[in-house]
Amino acid sequence: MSVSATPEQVRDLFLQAYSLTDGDTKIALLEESVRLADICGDFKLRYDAREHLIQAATFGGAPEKALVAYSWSLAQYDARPEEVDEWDVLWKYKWILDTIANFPQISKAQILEMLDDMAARYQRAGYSLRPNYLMRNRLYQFWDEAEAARYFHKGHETPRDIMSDCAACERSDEVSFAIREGDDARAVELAEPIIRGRMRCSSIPKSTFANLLLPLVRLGRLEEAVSLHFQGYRLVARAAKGSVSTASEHLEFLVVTENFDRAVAIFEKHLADAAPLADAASKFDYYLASWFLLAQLAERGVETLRLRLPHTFPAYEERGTYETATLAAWFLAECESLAALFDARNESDSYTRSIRKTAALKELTTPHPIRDVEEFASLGF
Amino acid sequence: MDYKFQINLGGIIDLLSNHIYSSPQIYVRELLQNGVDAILARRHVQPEHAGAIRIEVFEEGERGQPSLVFEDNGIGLDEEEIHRFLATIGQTSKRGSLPSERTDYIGQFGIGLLSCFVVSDEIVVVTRSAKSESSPTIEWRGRADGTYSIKMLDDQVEPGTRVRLLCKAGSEQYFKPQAVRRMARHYGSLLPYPITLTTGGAAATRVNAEPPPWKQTFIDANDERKAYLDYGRETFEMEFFDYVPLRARVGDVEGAAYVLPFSPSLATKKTHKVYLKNMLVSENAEGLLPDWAFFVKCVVNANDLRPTASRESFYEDERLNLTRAALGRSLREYLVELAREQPQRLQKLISLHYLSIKALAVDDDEFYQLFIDWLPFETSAGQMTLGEYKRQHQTLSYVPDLDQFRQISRVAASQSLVVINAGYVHDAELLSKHADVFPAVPVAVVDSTRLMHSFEFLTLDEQEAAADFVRFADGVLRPFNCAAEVRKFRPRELPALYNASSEVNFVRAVEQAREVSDTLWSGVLGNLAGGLHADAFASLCFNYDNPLVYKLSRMRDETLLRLSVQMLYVQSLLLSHRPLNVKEMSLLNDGLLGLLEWGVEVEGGWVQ
Repeated sequence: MSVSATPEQVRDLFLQAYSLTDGDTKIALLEESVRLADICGDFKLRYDAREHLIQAATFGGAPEKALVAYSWSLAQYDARPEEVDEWDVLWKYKWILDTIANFPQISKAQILEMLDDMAARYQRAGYSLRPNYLMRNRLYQFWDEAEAARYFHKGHETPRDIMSDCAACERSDEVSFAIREGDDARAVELAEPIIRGRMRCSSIPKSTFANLLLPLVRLGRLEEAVSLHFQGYRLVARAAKGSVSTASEHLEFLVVTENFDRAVAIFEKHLADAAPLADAASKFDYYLASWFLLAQLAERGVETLRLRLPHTFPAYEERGTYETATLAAWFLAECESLAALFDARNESDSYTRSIRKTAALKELTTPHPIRDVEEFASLGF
Repeated sequence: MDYKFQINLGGIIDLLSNHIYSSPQIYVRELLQNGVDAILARRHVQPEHAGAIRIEVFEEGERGQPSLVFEDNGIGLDEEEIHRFLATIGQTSKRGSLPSERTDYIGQFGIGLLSCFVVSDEIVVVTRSAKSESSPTIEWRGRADGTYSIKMLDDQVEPGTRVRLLCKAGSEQYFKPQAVRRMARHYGSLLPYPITLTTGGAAATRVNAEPPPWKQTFIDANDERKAYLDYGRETFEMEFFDYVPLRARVGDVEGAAYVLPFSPSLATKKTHKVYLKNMLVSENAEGLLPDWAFFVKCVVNANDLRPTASRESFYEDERLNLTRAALGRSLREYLVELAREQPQRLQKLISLHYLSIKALAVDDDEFYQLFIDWLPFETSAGQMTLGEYKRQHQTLSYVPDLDQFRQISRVAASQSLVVINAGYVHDAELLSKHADVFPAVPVAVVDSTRLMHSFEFLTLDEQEAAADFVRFADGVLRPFNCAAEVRKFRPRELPALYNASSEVNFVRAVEQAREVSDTLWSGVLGNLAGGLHADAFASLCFNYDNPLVYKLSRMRDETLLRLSVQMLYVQSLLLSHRPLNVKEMSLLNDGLLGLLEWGVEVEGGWVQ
């Protein structure tokens, strides 16, 4: 047993992590690499370890860990700018802000100050403010929709540069905006190049396909929705822990179209990922969709359910049988308390409203059984 | 007044060569494609017609440049068709009026011949339509500057089309006979019509003689095995572990999956060689197999799947989903049969590809039941299969967290406890599923707190003797969010063991980042941690069996005791690979100095 660490040990951890997908194991290996690199004391290693960790944690469902590692890296950039890749640090600022509002314990004042800090840093480094405006749109939507829309348009009028998101990401953002504005037809039209596979990146089309499910149902284009569900869910299953929020959208879609067997399978599958999340917004999304599923089942007279839920789940039952209505109520209560935290922070009622919006999805119910359920089950999820 | 766009052919060619086609050699594919489609069209009117494609390379052709002749005995073109198809970009002759006709053809975009301009400045086409006995022979001469001329020839050649390309300066490498053979074989080895190559006046040789193994019949299993593995070696230049014939009705897919002879990385894209209607479309096609099946590399021909424009994957539609499921089932059946018939071979396969098998077992109960005992896991006593573990231990004890496993495994052995590391991909899921599939086997989730509970307690007398020490140590460690405990455990040489949950690790990382952050970020970090694990506490468990700790528990000198506890704390942190924060670092520095000072003052060193 030794109290020291060698650069080789750190590099070996990088190598082990490299071959893994972003998720718990990779994050754990990289956290260990950060600790060992710190013991080694080599600056480059300490920085690289965090860089890897930020990426794995951002896309592997642990944005709180990305935030911690990033704040260290940013401080190093301030202290020794010549030793740090400026573009890389500033690019990752977007990742951090993208999830910052998911933590209700971060105050609104802090979020606004971070947005200003990001803008100031981009300006000092000579980059366009386009990503900052588009980020403001995504964050302001929680407390001031008109102001958010203003930033959305301002962002699109500001020139692109190498700090801008890729074309697929920006298009996906436009699709979300159209959905927010209630223009489903326009959202689907804007998404055409993404649906056709001409625009894609590491996060697109995963999120876009999920976003489009309910708009397509509202437009009565169910076959297209089913196709996007098939394609999109495959991508979600692949990156489970980082895609809890996206899985929620698939869940709601399956409930609205009354594909309950499939919905329950997906609900069981992702609960183990959702329940321990520190990212309260993703957890809220998942719990809300879960409540909707269970409430709809209860309304249809399903009194009990045999479920395989994770042992760590707070409402876990040893015997595996759950009262549908009781479990639904548990999820609703969780959602309400999370919504209260978010709404207090945001000084708005956007989260409470989203509970009401999900409840209202009941009116959208459009039975559309998906064929070949066994086939689906054997697809490997 | 409406005007028409003027298109600059040179610009289009540049676009094609730099953006649409991945390499100039694509011209061979496009020529083969046109040839095959022309033969198919002729067979629609003359079903008995035997198609053939002939390629001839002239190394010293016209004007001293190499040239190449590419000839098919397909449907041919008449004059009107020449104007329409050869000289109109985006027009294809392959849109039949009947839908059934349309799907026969490989080409779709009407830009095939243009790709020849990437390697040639002049294309000469001599063609005669098979539609009528009296069809004339026509010569079309197209130039890269966008002009073309047409001439009627007096000779009545056999119906079909002959394309002559004159090598453009700089493209010589694509006209070498060996290169042409390789490219023709590469794209066309599965085509059902004979392709022959003639060069330098030598006799014509066949390019695509052997059909692929899935189109052959075999005398016996050994014969089949050899044919498949030879084909795999030739296709991928790799000696594979095994092969699995693939067949799916949906998508009309046939081919072979080859089991990789090494463990693939999870992060790399898994790609396959794919032919569409027997013409190679991609060597890097994705999405053909279910995600778990990354232990094989496939070569397949699909007659009924739709490639995307880039040809690197397929349109994700219901049909692809069903095809994927069917191919996944073939692979699953292969594994199940291997388990039944050749367990030794399966063990070898598992040693390379257990990750694939674990990925499938997570979601497939029946498969899980069959395979779980064969699968390897890391334990505190080294790697072993779950079956081996179960034979030695009644309870399945596992640690779901990588860092906790490392902490626990350091002392587990001395407690005669063997724990499984479930921190790796799929392992926690697989182990938690064990109780569902085999309810009779007890399962225990172990963490460092539970491990500590398994340590031996002090007797009442000992507790009384050590009480002051524990209270004192607890007071020293409290500012570091750490509690002190005393137990007896092995190894005796270990004075103290630091236990921290993942929450403590998080809080420590936050503190460390706050030490270097500005006010804004420090405030954000403070709020983040406050909302998450404000009450996270670590513990330092002292080992009463350790002689040093035993002595400390009887020490009266508070200054020295404080220094000793602090130093043991710092040492345990470092032993568990935890970097020191600023406060702990100063403990280390002050502590060392303090001990030195004390040692210098007290002559003779340690006092009893």
